Amino acid sequence: MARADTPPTNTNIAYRVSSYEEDSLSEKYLLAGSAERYDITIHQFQLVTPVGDNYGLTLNSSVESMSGASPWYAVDAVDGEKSIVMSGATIHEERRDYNLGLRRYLDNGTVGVNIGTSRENDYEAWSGGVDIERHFNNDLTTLASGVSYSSDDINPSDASLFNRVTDESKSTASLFFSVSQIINQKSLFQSSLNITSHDGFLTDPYKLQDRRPDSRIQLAWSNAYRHFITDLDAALHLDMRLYDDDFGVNSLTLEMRWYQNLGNNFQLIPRLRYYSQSAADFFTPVNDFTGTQEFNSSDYRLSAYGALSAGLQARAIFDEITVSFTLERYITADSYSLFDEDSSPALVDFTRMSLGFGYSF
Amino acid sequence: MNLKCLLSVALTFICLSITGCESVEAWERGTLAKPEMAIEGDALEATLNNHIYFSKEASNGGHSATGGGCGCN
Amino acid sequence: MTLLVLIVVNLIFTCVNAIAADVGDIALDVSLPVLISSEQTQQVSLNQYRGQIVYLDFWASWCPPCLVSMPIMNELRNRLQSQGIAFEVVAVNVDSDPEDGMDFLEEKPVDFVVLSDPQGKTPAAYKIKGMPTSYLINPAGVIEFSHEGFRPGDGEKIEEEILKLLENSQ
Repeated sequence: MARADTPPTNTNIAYRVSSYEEDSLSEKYLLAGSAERYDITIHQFQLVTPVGDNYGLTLNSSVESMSGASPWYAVDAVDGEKSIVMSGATIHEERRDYNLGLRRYLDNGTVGVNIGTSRENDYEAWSGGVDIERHFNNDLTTLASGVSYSSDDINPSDASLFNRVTDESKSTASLFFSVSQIINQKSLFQSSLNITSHDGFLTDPYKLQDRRPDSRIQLAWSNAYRHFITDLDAALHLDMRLYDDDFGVNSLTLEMRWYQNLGNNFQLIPRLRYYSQSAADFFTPVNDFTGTQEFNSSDYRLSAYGALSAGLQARAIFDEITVSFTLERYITADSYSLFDEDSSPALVDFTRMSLGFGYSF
Repeated sequence: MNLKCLLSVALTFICLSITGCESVEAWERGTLAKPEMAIEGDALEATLNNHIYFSKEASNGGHSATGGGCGCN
Repeated sequence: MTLLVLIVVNLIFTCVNAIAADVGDIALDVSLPVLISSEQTQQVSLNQYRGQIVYLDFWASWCPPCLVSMPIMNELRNRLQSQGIAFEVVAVNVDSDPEDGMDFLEEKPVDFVVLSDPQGKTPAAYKIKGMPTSYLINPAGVIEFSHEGFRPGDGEKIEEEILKLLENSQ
């Protein structure tokens, strides 16, 4: 949403195509299956339009086609290293996502509602949310709060073949509260707190010996700072997030973006992001096949690691048309981690490219 | 790594930025109204990033509401 | 967390709004250079328009609803004037870089006078709280109506106010 406090005055349509490619798993760790990890093509579409004098409507949709393999389970290798068994056959999947949001603009704030659905061949989710924001203090301070809920049905493919679960479900409820403050003519700050509670089937049905608790509570505290440097005609974005959950995962995210204007029509936006998380309490680098642990997972997403990501976006803006190109490289390593805990050999590195078009009328 | 230590650093950062706060009048918000000063810039870029990081990392949350902006009505 | 809440609460209550120019007040004079003029120093004063109904509008190029109002007010002004109604729009551009205001007007020109106040002295004198803010001033120079913000349908509301003002003064 471009402006917090006024309904859109124009209709904007935007389209974006992205290519996301994960590096192959190192042969050193591959015991069986395909080393080729996910390649994803993502098409995104967005429409933002005024409705009457006081409403703004936002429609988002995306289609993702995925192919590749993912880690199935991990075992000890003879040389003391860990080995990953990848899913054998290449998976082909498609995900479709639709989201509709309506926002009412009032004198001192806004109220928004949204509904969405996300579908894959093995997955169907419905979600909805409501949020409210209010300006105080001569519009220098904005308080916002919102709730959202999502209900997901999971029906893993090839369930009988691999003895997978069928007809599982989970629900997610989320609450956020945020404060935005204008600091001076050139800077502003936002701090927000987000609490999310998941209930139901949280295990990854495509992994062997994956057993997770059936509830999870996540707490995230995010801070954003924006500062404009007039002499350089550039804006600095600093973001930091602290995260904690009852799986035992803590994390820190730091992000910096630099919006460099080059005349009236061009913009270059380099960015750097650092992320590090601790391991979940029940994470082990190799799966527990003895069944002695009530909960167990070798999923790299639940291991301790650090990740560095660098990106660059170039934008050209000509009256009503915007064209953008984005490149991002994301690398993970045990050594980047802030946390001295077990890591996984299956950490993922990826390259992402996007080409976007926008039209306003 | 101590989360409490990080929290205190972050809190100090917030206090420092807020105590330096000035009153910015309605007609003085031209810079704040620039699109590059939005908390969440390119909506599609933000959606995609959130989606990728959400599916590759254990952390979640950090919903970014709007704020700041031009203070227009 | 308590500290954070205290800071926020403190902020909300320390920076209290000043009272804006009110309905019933005599409109303070605005005397400013014209934003786009052939003669550099051309100065226009609000008091020159006494005897007419004046719509005084504070706007900036970075404010989307301000830009919505410009063509609507231009059309209204021209229509009322063609009906022989003594009505004029005086717009004050508050862009800190007047070039930004000029760029907008070059693309979407208006027929009424646009003044330039990059230092923001006049919106400060009027203590405006939001952008855009406009005032309807009667022929005697008294503020009859003030309006904050602008939505596409607001042109009709302003027209109604003008017609009401005409009825009352007859």
